[in-house]
Amino acid sequence: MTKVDIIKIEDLSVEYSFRGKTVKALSNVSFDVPPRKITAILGESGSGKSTLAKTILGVLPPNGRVVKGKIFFQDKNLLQLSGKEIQEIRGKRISLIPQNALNALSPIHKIGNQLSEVLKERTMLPKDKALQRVKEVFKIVGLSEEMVNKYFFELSGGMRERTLIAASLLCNPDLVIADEPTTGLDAIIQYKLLKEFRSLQAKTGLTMIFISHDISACARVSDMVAVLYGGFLFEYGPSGDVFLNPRNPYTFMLLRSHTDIKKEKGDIVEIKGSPVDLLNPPTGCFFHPRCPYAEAICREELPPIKEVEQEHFIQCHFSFEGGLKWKQ
Amino acid sequence: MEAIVKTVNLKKYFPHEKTIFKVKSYIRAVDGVDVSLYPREIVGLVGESGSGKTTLGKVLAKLEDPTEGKVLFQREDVTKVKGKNLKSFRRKVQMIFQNPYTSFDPRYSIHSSLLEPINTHIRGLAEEEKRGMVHKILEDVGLMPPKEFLYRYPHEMSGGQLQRASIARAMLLNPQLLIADEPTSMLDASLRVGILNLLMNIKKEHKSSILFITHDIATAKHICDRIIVMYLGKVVEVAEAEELIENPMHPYVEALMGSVLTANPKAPEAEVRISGEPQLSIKSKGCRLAPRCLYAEEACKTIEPPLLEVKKGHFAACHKFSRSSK
Repeated sequence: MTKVDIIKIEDLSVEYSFRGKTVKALSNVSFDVPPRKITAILGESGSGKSTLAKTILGVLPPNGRVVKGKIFFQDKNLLQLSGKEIQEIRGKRISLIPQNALNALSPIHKIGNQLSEVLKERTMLPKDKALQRVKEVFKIVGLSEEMVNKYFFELSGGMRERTLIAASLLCNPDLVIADEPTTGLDAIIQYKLLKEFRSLQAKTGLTMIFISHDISACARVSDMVAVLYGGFLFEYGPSGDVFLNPRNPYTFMLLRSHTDIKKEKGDIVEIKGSPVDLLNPPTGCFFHPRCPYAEAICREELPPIKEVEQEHFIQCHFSFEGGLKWKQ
Repeated sequence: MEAIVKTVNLKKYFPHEKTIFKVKSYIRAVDGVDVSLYPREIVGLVGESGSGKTTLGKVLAKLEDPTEGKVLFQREDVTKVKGKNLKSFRRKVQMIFQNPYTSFDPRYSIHSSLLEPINTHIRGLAEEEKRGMVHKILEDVGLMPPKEFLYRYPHEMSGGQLQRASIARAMLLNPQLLIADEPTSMLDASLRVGILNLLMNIKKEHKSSILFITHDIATAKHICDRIIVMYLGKVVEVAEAEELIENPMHPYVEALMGSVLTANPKAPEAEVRISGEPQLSIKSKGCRLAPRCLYAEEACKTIEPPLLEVKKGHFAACHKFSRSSK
């Protein structure tokens, strides 16, 4: 189990029907989630990052549909499993840290009871053993054992987020999916939590998918990063390569426009135009109306996927050997 | 240079715990704040949630009345302004908000929304002139060609376009002060810079001052001339933007700077010397940061540190400076 990729996504396309139209939320996305690493999925709203998480967990809304593709989880195609088989995996082998930490748990049950209840249901542990396990995971995420007797609303934002991380670890999952886990938290607390994710990963050898729109948070926490735009996987590779030497113009422009504190004052550049409207998508590459590097072919054909360096993939007509140069 | 807005010991308290007879405790959202804004500058008001930055903005725009203290707008105390004077004050100070979708009436087209301030404040304009004003301002905020956007409704526009429209509406009457409350935090990363550039252009062309309220000190660095940092209702540090970012003095600002993330995955990890999380309802008399501050001493728990000018133009409120100056 050590070398096999935890999740292998192959040629995945998902669409929603919306007011009589079909909207392509994901188009031909393929990538692997390597074990014992944090893989970030970076994208703006409408990029398909949440759809990807929902598809992996098998919780697409009723108007969503997988058009084609496969998601392998330890050699099983998640998209072909029966409801019962998925139940065995979801929550147990794959767990989720939900987006809205502040009201994710019930306010009228003690945290310890709430979490041990889940364990009892999932693993048939007796009550006292379950509570013991809850205390164990609390210790891992840096919460004191007494927390099990508190109510969720009594905790501060950072503590609530830690509680949810603890909850996601309860069944000792093979994969944790965190959906915007630090959005809405204060800067100092966010910083500490991201550090926590890293040390947690080192301590437990966890595999994680970290979904975020925050460029710096992804850079801080991830080993691998996947950049989505309008449902296409524009760039995928080791974080060091993608953030320091991006090869897709969208990633490059996004980093140029990022208000990074380390940049000189005013050294930020606007990406002109609006994000892609998925109800009326452009022809060819979805980024071409905003891309300063676009040429005729970009308007006509979908860009191919290519490996520009080892494990570093882009979807673009060009490969920008030697890196992108700034172009107004 | 004379300040256009100056606050004097400004306080705004909200009732926290109350019985039917009396209020037992207050949230001290803004607690004794003295700040000045000068003509033609962009001032960043930086703070985390609960710091009182939005409340201060609202009090300056007279959307909230202060509990105590004064707001002097061009030397006139606006906390008691009424009637005609209030109307002319409204024309001089405008505010834009975080969520552009809730700042517009969904039943009004952009054209009707933009006509509102003109019809309210300027009498006797011909239709042609009004139309000209609206066209001009839409061009200024980059909604081009104006014709394309005039008859759209808010739901027909993207977040970035609508935020531009809300800036257009605020700038129509050329206010002297624009208060922008987190104008970019709802927008996608790729649209943010457009709005920031627009605000900088507005400062130049309309010669207005802008109070830019944000939780993100990195964004403030890029557009602000000066930065004010608040923590739990108090101003803890004020300085020129670059000076504050290069040499943060207050332990809180130091921690805030240490926790700013950058897009470089190989950046070294900083040590953040602040523990815990802020408690909104404060009972102690001392420094607000004392319970979380690793430098805190006995004095910090009992005496509130004053905001001192530590270096020319660089103010900080921490006992480590009041001690050394003695």
